[in-house]
Amino acid sequence: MHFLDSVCELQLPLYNPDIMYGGRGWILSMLLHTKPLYHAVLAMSTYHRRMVMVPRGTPEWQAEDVRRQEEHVAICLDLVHQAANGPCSNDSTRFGVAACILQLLFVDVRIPSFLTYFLLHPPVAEYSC
Amino acid sequence: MLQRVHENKFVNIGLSEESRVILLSPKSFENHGAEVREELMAFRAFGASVVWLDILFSVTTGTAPSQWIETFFSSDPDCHIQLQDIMGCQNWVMVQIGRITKLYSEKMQAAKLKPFDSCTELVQTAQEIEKDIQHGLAQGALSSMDCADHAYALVARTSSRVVPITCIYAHTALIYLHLVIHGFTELRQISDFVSRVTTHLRCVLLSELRPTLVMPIYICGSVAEESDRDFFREVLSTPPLMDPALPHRARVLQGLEEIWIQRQIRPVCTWEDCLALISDILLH
Repeated sequence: MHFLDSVCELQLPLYNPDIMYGGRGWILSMLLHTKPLYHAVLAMSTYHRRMVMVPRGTPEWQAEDVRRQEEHVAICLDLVHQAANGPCSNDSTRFGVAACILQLLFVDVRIPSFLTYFLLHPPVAEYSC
Repeated sequence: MLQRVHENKFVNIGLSEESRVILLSPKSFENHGAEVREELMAFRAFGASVVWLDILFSVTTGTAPSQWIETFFSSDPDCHIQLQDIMGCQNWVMVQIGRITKLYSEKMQAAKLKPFDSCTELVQTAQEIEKDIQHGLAQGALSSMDCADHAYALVARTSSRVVPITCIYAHTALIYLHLVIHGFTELRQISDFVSRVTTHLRCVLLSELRPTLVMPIYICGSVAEESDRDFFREVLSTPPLMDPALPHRARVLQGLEEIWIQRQIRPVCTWEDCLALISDILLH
């Protein structure tokens, strides 16, 4: 929920879809159905919360957040890699994984490890069949 | 990937057949089931984000936008991807900014053989872009919109902030076009546009919209006179633009400071000189 409450607005500043089209409900639906996107969003949310809370958090608390953030990043990248190298026909999660890659691009600006990963793994970056 | 997706008519990416048909034609979908609505809303937001980032990337690297963008994104009001939904600017302006980045890219390639003024086609393209932007401003009665107008205040307070944001981006596009062709010379030709953007940015009613205006702030700031530079320093170093979770934005002010120094050092400073300083900046 932190992502929907706070982070989404940073990435899509004026995004406020009409209730006629279901509002932002599609985001929750996509998160629940796409594992790598779910972990990418959790990594982003953990990072955002940690940066906002820096003046108030203890060093132990922040270290725990860093650990969780890196854990989610590792799971996400592993799942994206599996999806990119797996069979690509009739893959109902392809769009969700593409959205995950976009989320990673947003995260990339803030977490340098993603850039390193994509430089070292071109097939994932191209996401081709 | 998106180009292949479009060529294959949106198959094999997990969209339902109903969603696929709607994407291939300008149909509305508010009366369709929840699954179709969710799929199409996701595609629209995803597509708009990718287009926006691609154009921003083109501006800071001096390259043309990705070719596949034209398959999804246009000034057509029925286009499924509407940038105003995520960042407030109407498509037609961002299309023109994309054309300017392409013009710059072609200009740099042609410059190896002959000066820009001798490239008739490029000069004509530049004139067409300027004409199209001015036409768009006139059509939307945006060129005469003034921060002090009562009507402006009313618009700024309503849920639709598209009008002032589009106005700012359109004038920014004219400034950017000048920089691409003339560099930082003959700035008097664009002084009206700079003044208009700066006035809009100073308007208190619009300060909450600054997170969508990083690119106009940067472009307009790059040509700012010394008397206005403290304003841009303040905008780029305080909320809402400065956010602890967005450290990349600190680089934007650093880039501006470097450009201001270059303008003082070099008698003829070009846009190419600036690109060398800002290629790692994300104007988001």
